[in-house]
Amino acid sequence: MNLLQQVVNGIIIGHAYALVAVGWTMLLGAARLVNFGHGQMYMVGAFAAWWFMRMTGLPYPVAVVAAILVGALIGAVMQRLLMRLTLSRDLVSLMIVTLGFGQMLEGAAGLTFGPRPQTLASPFQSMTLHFGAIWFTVQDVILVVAAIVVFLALRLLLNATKFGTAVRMVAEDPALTRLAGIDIARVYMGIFAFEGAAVAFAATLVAPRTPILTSMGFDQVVTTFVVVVLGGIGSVAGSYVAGLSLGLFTALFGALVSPAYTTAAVFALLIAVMALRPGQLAASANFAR
Amino acid sequence: MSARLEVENLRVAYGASSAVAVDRLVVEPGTLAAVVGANGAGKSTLVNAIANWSRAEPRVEGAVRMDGENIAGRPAHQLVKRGLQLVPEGRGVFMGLTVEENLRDGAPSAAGLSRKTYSIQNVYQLFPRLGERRSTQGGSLSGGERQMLAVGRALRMAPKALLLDEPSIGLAPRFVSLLLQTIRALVDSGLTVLLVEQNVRAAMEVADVVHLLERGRLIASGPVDEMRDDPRIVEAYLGGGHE
Repeated sequence: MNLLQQVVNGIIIGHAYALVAVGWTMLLGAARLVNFGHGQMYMVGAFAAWWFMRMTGLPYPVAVVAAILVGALIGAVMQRLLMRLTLSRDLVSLMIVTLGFGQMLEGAAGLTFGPRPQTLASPFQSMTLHFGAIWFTVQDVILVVAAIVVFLALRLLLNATKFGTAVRMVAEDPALTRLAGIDIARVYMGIFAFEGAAVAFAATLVAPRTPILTSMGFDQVVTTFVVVVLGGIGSVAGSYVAGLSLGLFTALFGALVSPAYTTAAVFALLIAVMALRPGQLAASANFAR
Repeated sequence: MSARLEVENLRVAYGASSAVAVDRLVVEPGTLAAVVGANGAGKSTLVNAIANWSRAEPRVEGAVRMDGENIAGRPAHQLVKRGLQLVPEGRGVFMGLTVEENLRDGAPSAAGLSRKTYSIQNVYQLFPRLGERRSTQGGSLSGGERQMLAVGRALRMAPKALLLDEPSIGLAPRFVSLLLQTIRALVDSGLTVLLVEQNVRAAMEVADVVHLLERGRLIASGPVDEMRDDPRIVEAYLGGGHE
């Protein structure tokens, strides 16, 4: 087993984790909300792209855009449905309701797309690059670059745009934000749409690496939750670092110890972090960093 | 000509307990009206209800008219856009935003507004201290600076009527007087202000009209010169040392 290859794999998986988690980071950091339907939204994003390619015959990049739009729409619909719980920040109810929402998405996807594993065919997945003993695909490169771009763009959005400031204001004090003449329901709508679009985008880039199943959502919820918690609950930079670290950890643990216990080890890590660094399920005012 | 603000039969309740019952309260354009009263008299509840804003969930009934139009029940952010601006008690600035960000964002563009607008530079002229600290985060400001910033933020929204909830709370005396004198100057240049104050003496130095609120009801109202001699105010708030 080539250690360097495992580091490369870890970096790629890490960026995948970070990219999948970025929407939830925004949701948790800005709106102090949770979405346990996140993984199923990932699944729907992947299947939306697959279905779109199958139905229209259009190429993969177009399907990526279509899936992002579907994701944003699902996020926006979710916000409309959860409006009251959102505005009162009723976390416990939201946890249960979003969990249910995810199950509904999974059921609907099962009925629509069938039980068989499918392949989201990206032309970049079969293009491999070799550097001595190390290799990876063009799809991997796109994934890593896209994750970095999305994180940088999010920071820019939060710190340099009017919408970003509104998001930071809502994160800190939604009631006071109203007194700046801002309709906070619309800000929440934007946050949810971003969450949906971001996770769908992540899905279209990550899913070509493996077969897709309508039941694959739950694992994604779990990994995302680990990334977001390790990253310091809703901190943008923290999530990126946490995603990358978790990717390296799983790759190296799988290679050096045992791939069978990787998931267990990740949870042990999560429990250790939460026990050592207990904090509220809420970000600081500085989550935009 | 209708009053800038006119409140009629305003009833505010938290659950089953009534907090405020004000039959009539009028603020004329370009004047500074003060609502004074003891802690817990319902002063904050009153101004919050006028702005239809609260951190709690009170039940509000009654009419609130701005320039003759009934605006009761409209969402707080819409009232802000129409020029009714509240500076709430306590936390009125964003701690995670710099002074300049606090002043920059959310403000309507000056174009297309018939109301008097205030640029960030105007705010810095009013409160030079804020200009010196423009890159400082709200959370690092002193109490007095925060209160100035809260007023500055409110001005940036180009208010027709400004509701100020206890701006003096927790401030050193020299800050209280500086802040209230600045507000008086703004009123003299045309702004309409409804000021809620526990510091009765300080409020009476700048107000045109004074209303005394007790247990949620207005028990006395009048021009400041009359109210200065009102026995209820003299005994309860101004004490024997009054000139």
